[in-house]
Amino acid sequence: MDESWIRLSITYPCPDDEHVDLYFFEQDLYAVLYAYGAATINEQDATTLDGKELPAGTKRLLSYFDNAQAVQAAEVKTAVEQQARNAKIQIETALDAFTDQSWKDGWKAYFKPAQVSDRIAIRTPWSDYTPAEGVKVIVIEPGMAFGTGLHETTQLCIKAIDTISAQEKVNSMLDVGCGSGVLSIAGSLCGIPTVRGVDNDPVCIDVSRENGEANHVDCVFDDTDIWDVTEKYDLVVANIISSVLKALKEDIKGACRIGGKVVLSGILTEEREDVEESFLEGLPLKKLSHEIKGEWCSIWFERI
Amino acid sequence: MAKKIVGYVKLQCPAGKANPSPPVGPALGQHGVNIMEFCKQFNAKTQKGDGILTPVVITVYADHSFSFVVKTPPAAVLIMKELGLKGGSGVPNREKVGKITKAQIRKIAEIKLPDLNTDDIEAAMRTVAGTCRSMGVDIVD
Repeated sequence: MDESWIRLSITYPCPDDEHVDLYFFEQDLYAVLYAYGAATINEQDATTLDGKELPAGTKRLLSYFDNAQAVQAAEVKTAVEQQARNAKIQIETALDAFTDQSWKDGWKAYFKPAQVSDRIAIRTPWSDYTPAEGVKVIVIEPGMAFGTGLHETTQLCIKAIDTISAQEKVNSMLDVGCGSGVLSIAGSLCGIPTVRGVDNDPVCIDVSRENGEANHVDCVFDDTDIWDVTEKYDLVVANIISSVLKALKEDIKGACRIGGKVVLSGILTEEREDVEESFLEGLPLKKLSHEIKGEWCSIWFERI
Repeated sequence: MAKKIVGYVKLQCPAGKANPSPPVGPALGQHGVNIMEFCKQFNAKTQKGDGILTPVVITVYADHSFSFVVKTPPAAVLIMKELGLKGGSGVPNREKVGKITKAQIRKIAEIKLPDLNTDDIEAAMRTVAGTCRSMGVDIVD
């Protein structure tokens, strides 16, 4: 889907130690942008990749508004210009339509296929890869949903799915927050007969379904909230950030049958103990192990 | 051997809520950085920030991998959050938008201290107080 945005550009003298008024003016700019709901700002100056053409001592802020916010964008521009007049600081502002879509594909050329567990490798539709014998390849189109499959957290999860399903008969798996569907597809390729992925973002469900079909697996994806899942699964995996994992912990545990396994990922190593302690409260679990990769870790539990 | 640095990208994103929409997508995608992976890592690291505008400096390497350092939110944004303000004053010397106590200034200065070129909390408080005056926020005891 092609989208366009309204881009507000504000160019002003860069604050430095000798011009404290510019520092305060810049703070006022942030306040105006924040007040008008500019959720994200790109700051450019001569030290950044995207500001190299700017004269030394000059800085530019870029903020984007969707087309429904055209009036708001114009109001921000007016407010910023008024702020500059009041502060007697020379600035340049511009509003223009941003229609470039090329950034969506710019990173894809650098996505390298890789084997991520004993039986699973991942590649994208635009990359070639020859797997080792016995290794199945997931072809994943990440699109704009999270999860290229090569992030440490995803690799930790796939390793867990591969290991657990090799050690014991796993008849069913639930993938909580399925994103691109990569974990569900891995579960299916590891021989788990019933695999379901749920996500509260409909975009993720669409991407997951497309990825499932492209990999010829029989996974089910739906946008059911985890607390509305009534079935019990042999294996429940959740690769989300730790604050969300903790918020959903009873629902995640509740979806696992007694004797089944729960695998959590998306956890920074410094958060492991906190997440572990949180999950060991309430519905009973036994910790089996944890795995670390880079800054991230996964935790494996058994539902008892 | 250390990886070759191509350059830096500076963004301010809502803590825990970065997404691939502009400017994040264009700023990173054009340099071959995996946009979604950045969002995931940024959101994980800032998840306790409750959506507050958070500066981040991203280092882009020659192999298109990246690392990033999260900074403290702008003082003006912290002041707005602390006082529940919807914005600063366009004419701060005439129109006031709120009042802030020295204890609140100290609280904000303590948050900002890691990013200021001083270890002196009093100096940090003076900087925050300057931002308050610039926004039309009166300082009270």
